[in-house]
Amino acid sequence: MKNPLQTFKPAARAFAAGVVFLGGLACQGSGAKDDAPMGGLGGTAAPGLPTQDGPVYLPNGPTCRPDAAPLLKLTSRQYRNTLRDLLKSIGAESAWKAAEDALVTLPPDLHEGYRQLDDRVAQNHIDTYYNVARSVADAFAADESSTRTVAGACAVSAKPDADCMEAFVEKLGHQTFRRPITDAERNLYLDAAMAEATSKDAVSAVAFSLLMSPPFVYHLELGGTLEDGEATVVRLDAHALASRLSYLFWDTMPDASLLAAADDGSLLTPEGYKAEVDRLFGDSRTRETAWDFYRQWWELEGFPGFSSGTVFAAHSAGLDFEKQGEAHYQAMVAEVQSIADHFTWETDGNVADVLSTDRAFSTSTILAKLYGVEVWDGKGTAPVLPNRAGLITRAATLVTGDHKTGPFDRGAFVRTLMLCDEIPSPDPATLPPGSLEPPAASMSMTTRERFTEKTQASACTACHTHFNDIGYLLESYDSLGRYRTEEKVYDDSGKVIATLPIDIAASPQITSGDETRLEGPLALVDAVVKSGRANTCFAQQYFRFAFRRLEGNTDGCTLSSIERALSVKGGSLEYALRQAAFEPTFQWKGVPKP
Amino acid sequence: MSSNSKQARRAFLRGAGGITLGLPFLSSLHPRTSQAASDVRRFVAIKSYSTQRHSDWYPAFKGNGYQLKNDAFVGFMPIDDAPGATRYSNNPRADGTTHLTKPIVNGLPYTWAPLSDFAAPSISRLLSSGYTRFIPKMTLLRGLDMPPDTNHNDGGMLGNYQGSNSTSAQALTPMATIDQVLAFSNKFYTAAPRLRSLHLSPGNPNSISYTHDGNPGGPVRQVQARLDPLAAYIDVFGTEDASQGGPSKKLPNLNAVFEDYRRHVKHPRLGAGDRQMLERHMQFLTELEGRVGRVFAARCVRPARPTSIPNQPVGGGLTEVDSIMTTYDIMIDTLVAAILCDHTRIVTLDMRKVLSMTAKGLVGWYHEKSNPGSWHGEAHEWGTVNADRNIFEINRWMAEEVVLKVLQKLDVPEDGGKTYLDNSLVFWGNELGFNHVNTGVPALLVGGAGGRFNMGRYLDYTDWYSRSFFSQQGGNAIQGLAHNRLLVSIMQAMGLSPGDYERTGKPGYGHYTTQGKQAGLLPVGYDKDQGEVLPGLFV
Repeated sequence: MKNPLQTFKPAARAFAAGVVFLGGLACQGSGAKDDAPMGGLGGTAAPGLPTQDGPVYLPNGPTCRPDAAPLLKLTSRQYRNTLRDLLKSIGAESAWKAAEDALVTLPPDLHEGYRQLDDRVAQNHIDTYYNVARSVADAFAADESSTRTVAGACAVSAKPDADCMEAFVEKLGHQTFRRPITDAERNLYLDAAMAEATSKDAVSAVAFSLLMSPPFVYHLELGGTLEDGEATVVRLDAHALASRLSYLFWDTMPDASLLAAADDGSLLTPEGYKAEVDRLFGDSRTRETAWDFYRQWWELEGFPGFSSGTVFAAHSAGLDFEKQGEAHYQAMVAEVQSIADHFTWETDGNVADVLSTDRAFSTSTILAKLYGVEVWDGKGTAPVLPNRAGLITRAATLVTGDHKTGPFDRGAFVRTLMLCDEIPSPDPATLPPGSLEPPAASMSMTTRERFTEKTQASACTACHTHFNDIGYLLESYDSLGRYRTEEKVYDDSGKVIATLPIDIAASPQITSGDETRLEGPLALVDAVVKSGRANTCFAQQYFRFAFRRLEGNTDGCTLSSIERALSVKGGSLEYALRQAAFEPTFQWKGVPKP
Repeated sequence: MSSNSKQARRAFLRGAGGITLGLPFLSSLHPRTSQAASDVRRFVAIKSYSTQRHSDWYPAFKGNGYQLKNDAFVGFMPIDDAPGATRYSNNPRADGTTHLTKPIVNGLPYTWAPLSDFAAPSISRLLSSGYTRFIPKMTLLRGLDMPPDTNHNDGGMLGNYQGSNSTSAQALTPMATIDQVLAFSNKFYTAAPRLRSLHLSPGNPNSISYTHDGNPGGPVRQVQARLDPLAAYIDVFGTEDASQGGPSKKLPNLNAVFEDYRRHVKHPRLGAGDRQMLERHMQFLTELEGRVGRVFAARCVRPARPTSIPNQPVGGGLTEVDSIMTTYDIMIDTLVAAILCDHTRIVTLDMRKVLSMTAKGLVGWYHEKSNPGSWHGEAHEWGTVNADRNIFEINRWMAEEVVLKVLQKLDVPEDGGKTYLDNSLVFWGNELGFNHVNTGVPALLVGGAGGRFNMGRYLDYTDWYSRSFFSQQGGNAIQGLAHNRLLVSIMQAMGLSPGDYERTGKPGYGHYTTQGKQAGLLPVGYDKDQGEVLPGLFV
């Protein structure tokens, strides 16, 4: 997908600088932190719609409104969390054990960006939903005590009682659908209950059917009212909004308090909304979800592991990777989590801080040994880590799993995930044979020289200029993330047969056309930070995570606003994460074309 | 559930009401008919990765009239051998393997020999003495070529080269793999099975299978494999703790669930894509409904329910090795039980995460194309002593600890003096041939598909007297026959006719060519006889 930021960036910059400022409207910027819901929830303004002539906010869209949101099922994590919390909410924790076993077959979510955007549905999903629903339904009907707990004393009679079952359908339906059930739904599931011969089977049938139903499995968001004059923009109803909030911050269903705020309508008042956002955001589950966002953004999942080969054993000698490979990687990721947590939750940190901090936040002994520093005891101020800046100079984002560095991967990481530039796919017809194979080892050439030689053909340079030099500036770190000034070349037995100096200068072109030659990885980080582009990139990434879709042509306003939450006075990562809930477009839904 | 409601639901799924446009006609909706036990066939596909040394796979026997290629081709150098091709000697065909001379078909360059001629001490380095008892049920294939420039595909072995990291292969239109063609064929399954296919893969969620979900010509997606043995077990036996043979508890009624989906599909605020998703959901519900609650083969013995072994990355010592071994053992037991219970007749097993014996002992390997330190990395160190040894040891572990165990456990009596293995076709195939080349990809067939295949043979489709594009230790890039012809052969052995799988207006199945940018470097022309089965294979 084309990066829309590249299209509207000039406008976004102007917007961020306060050129466009219309008080009381959506997408406006006050230049200071503001806890009030933007878009005037419950107020009189028409959020996001311009009150002056012509398009104001976006050069690529007539107004600020959400692009169409596709139907998505709960992610595997959401499904699991939701089921657990649902069972807990009705006092049926014992059913969780049975369901947990069945959950093992739930397929992992797959998406190139965020799991939240996985729009696949496969037989394995449906089979798992079925097995889970059966397990829970069986557990509800396993004995009188269980049945009484979930459906009341009236449900242990021999034959199903209509009033009793209706109350059960309403109660369980409310929790399962995350909203009150409709009359049609009540009748449908009550009929299913009353078709059973025994009360026990009726309870089981209701539980099974509700857990298999679309409102439980999908983020349906079919309620709400059309905005005035709009055919495709719906203002979410209170329950859909409650679910959005809950899945944004906790990755699970709304809890009792949030559901109650939706039931009584207080969630649709500015005060009620703010109170719930504050409550949810202040809960520790929000930290877990925020880390899930960072972990996915920085691609810290799916590491294939460390080599079992002889050369790697020599390369990592003394570090005990053979026995502690997994522990090493976990320590590397934990370090990044500490950085993210520190600058998100412990200080009013920003993207720039995450990228440029020189502090050693890790208390891991094995990581300290890898870095060649004294381990921090976790008390007081974290010590300085020599020759390091933040995220892109830490082992978790540098490590490759064997003795060879991956300058292209490193360069692509910065280019696509820190700057959000797209790297075009090569034209297969123009690639020389063997283009995708790594260059052969050499006693006389550094990795940089070999990779440069490999990509010097004109068919390669058009793309590789975007990331090669970024990767070369990171060649000051070896494949385990250790700082180095020389590169070791190994033979097949792991013996060092050459030592070659690292060339630390390159022109990474962080901003297009900027040919400035930088020296070393810290200069690279400095250039990325000073470009301001990492903030823009954060906005794009967090939009995708929070809104569960890719940005569209009319989302520029929202992206600008998220970016601005980092840069306004007092802005921070924490503020930006929270502020997404106050975006008007968060409270709307773009209806897709039928 | 009444039969009326089922009928009504199927009518709906077939498109009544005008809201299910594009929904496929499911083969599961065909009337069910009984299938005689003698017609039951099964297909088990097992895949290994990276380079395969021909000298490890194939006999290196001389005597009794056989000679090695090293001797048979002394001084033989066709003038059209690729100029400047990489060779290790003046005799590029001298790969240390036995030269066959008996023609499969008179007038064609393909050759064969009885496998029993090579029984002692073992068929090959890889096919050890443990395989000797299976010689009458086994056919070893050589000279099958995949299209060039399709390296590192997941589904090529079963017919889909799209999705590899080769850019020209990425441009191909994805195709359902043959296991899925079979899975949704009402000739293969004359009654809805409990599970159309089972997909196992320690360490790799992307299976070797691509499915059209019963909609030939429709969207194709990669099937997700089971990494956790407990998940595989639940796929086959469900979650209920019932006695063998079928579930004991009352089955839930899906009527209300279907009705709820039906109502939602009509909602005006759903987009076309949303609607398709819910329709697909209903299709899968129908599929599920068709198989749950059925009573299965009386002989079915359900293995003990395993504990969960979540996927772990390679590395980290003994625990990881233990978990890999345990995972394979449980998955093999589940695979075999699934077939013996007739819960499914199609299984794929992807061996991307494996073990091998090294100087340090048993260690774990993971085939990851982006990680040059892995098993794949060893394949790139081609020709070094350590790498050659490691590659052999990896393959040896798979041959002994995975494939052989599957064969042994399936070779138990079924009906009519035959074993389950006899009525199955176990296909051990590979991602690549020698040195990351798609030419001459080794394949082993065991079982014979209920007597449809000639077994006990070593069939070589390499035209040894034609041009050698290049050779390296243990392999030669000499044109053979398209691997696709094996796929066509398998589908026909499983009871399908060309009309059941040909979709593109051309004979055969699968991709036969890529963009051909490696023309001149590797054999590329496989258009001839595309739709034909492999010679010498069928009875």
